[in-house]
Amino acid sequence: MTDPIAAVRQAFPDALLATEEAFGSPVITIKPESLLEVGRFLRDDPELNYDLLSSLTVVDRLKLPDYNASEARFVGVYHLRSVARDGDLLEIKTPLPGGDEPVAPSVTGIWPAANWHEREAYDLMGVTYDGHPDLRRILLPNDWSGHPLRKDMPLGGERVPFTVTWDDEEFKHLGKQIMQPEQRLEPVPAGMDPKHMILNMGPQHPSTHGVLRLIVELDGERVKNVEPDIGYLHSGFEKQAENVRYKDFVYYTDRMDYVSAMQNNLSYCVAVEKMLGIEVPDRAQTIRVIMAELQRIASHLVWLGTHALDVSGTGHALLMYAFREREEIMDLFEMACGARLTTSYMRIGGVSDDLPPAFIPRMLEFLDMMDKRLVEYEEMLDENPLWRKRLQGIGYLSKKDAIAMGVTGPMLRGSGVKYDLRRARPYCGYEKYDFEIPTSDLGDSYGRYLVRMAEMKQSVRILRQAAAMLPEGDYLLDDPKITPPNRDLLDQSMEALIRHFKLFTEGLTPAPGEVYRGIEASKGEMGFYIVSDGGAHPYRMHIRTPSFANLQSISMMSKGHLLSDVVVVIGTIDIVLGDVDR
Amino acid sequence: MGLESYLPETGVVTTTLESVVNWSRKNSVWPLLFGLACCAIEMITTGTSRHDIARFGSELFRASPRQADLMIVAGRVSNKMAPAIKRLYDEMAEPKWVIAMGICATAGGPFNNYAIVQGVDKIIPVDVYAPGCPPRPEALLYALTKLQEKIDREHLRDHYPQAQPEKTEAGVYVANTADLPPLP
Amino acid sequence: MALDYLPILVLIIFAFLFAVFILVLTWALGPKNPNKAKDEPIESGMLQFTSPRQRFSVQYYMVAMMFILFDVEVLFLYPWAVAMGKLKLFGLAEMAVFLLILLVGYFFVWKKGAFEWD
Repeated sequence: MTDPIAAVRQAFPDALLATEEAFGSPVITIKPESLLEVGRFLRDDPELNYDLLSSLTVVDRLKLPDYNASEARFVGVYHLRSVARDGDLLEIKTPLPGGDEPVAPSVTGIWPAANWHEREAYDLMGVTYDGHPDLRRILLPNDWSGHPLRKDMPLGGERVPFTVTWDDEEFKHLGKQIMQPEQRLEPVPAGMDPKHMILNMGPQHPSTHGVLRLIVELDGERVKNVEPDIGYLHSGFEKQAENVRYKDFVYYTDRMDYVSAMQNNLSYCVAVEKMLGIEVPDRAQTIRVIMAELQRIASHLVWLGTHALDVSGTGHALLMYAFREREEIMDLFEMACGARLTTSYMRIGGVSDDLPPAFIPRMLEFLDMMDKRLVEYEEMLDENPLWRKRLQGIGYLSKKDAIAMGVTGPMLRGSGVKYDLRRARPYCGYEKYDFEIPTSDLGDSYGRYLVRMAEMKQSVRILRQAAAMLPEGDYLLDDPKITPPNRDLLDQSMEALIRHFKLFTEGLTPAPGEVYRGIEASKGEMGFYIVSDGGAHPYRMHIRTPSFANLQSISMMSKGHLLSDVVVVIGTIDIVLGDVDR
Repeated sequence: MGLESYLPETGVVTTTLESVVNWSRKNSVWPLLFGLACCAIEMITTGTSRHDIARFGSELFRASPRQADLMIVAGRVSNKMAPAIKRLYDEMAEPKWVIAMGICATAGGPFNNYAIVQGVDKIIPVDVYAPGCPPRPEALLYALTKLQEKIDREHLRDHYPQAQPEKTEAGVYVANTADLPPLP
Repeated sequence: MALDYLPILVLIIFAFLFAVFILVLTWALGPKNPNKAKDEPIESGMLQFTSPRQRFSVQYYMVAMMFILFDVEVLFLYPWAVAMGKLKLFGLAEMAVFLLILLVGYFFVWKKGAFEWD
């Protein structure tokens, strides 16, 4: 059992400032000057092998109760995982020098995945990274002033008047345009030659799955360079989290990866539960697994339908078939929680409501139908010469590149790396289920297609097992400080009323500390890094979304291909812009 | 400019012509393929086989704004996206309508913060608002039928620039978004 | 003899008049609201980086030339197909020779790699 703390202490005795254990994972605090050396050591040492940079963020300590002005205001936080050692997690913190204008060394030389993460930290927090190849804003418009995620910046937005009538002064301009958003011409991106044709596959495009803007430099039909420009859906989730209670943020998590809402809910809830140190009852865990796997199938169906539509145009038929199955899944969700798409079904401590009695029989019927339909899809596409010609050899990502770029999920498994957080770091009782982890050694779009189709089959398998082993019991943990009481008790018991009142006005208050937990969402590793100051609102929440990390590799994957192959590459990465931009 | 300046405002020729033109316009409203966020998935679902939007006339979602009649703003509008939306709206050919789908497009939704424009009607004029988070496909179809009812009540002179821009302290209010004065 | 073709003339005139009628109707009934953005090219909602008035890559010309050549070959097939009844075996043999010559050219172009993009 390798101990990273001991190894670092032995190799760099004077760089280590502090060590601690945050809910089972080691956290080391090191001096910023030795960050690069320690990082290289952690990556290259054959016993430690922390080669996957999961997330990189910055915490502004200004409003923490134990902050004083002599300490560093900004702390850089790095989460590293080791793929070879089953996703072993290590957190590195460095206090950043520079006071209000912090500077940090850039780790893009060690983990190229850090490129976009550092740009985001620069954009939202104002940290300058020395040695970063291209430090500029990524999520906010280029001419934005200020760094909104800092603690001294306000949330923004507009005042919502609740106490006025329609003929008030406030509503004078109702129905008339008052904003003049003008476009300014930007300079040609660095590295692109204006003699070639530089095209915007812009925010409004039928093949980009959402508002993604790709600046493509073309020589004839050959792509010389692709530069993604994201941030067109940036909604300030992380800042919003600092202003809502823990239980309320579940509703926001749906809107991130909006095709797999249950997975986002689950990811948030397990992170908060880890921080609170509570155990969810067995029935709730099984229900969660059922919902997560149904959602995985639904997300992969959207991928399949839109990918086939993008590749061939006449794949409209496959879109209709895939959405027909998805409608069945959404009917199941509606049966359980009332909502089709943005479900908000999970709660901290369990799920919000029990499954209705008709759920399991209907789900088993659906699974029988799904088995047959999956075979149909394979017959339609697997040996289809058009499909193979368009997908094979396109978007190749080698194993080494995939891990270096921080890619996770079906993209990583499509490059031959057998790494799945459900098996490596089980959550929600996944160790009880018997399923395989499909991988493909091809590394191109066809390999990823095979992986996702196989994953749908494995999800059906897990669902059958979960339906068979669904235990009786509570669907929500009964802890007075965390979960509200059963509504029937509110009429009868004073304690229940007080408990309900306290939880819905003040909210639950975890002890001060921080936690990071990642789950295997449909698109990759989705993790929440939550810092708590003991209050009812999270102090800082950083969301590690899979599509943000996966999209970085688009440039590497599409160089040298034709323009129509860029569309295939976007489809095979399976991005959702709500996930990318948060 | 155009026929309706030669026709009287009311009168049997005008109203018959209007009803024919409105009938043809409302039954073939072609939306622009413009999904921003979660509501876009429900918009795609409205186009698939269970809640077929094609039976209401929206046979195809056009990708080019020149060929589209209806812009369904489906999802939250961020500050970075706002200029693109305005430009796309300006590029659409008359007659054009806008449905604000979802509460984010209507009024900013749950995101009352620095990044989101609180309602797309701050940038472009909206005809029908469809609240919901996301609105069910049936709700979007209801919004479409409401828009069709609205088109039915239109006059031939409705899609022309009418008034002079009105300047007040709160801002400049114009009928044509492309006529707003440039930023300093 | 010439009167056999009168229906075609009538058809052409009617098609032309119908197209003109539709265009006039759109011009008369359609609203006119010109603005600056309508005259500029669309690039997915963003302003352009480079103008399209640039030199095109030579591969496009190759594709265009190949298309024209084989399209004209097909064009020659049409009148032959219509008159094949009268031309009988001699006509068939002539057309076969014509196609064979062009087929040799086709294989030449294929081997030379003009059908690959690069």
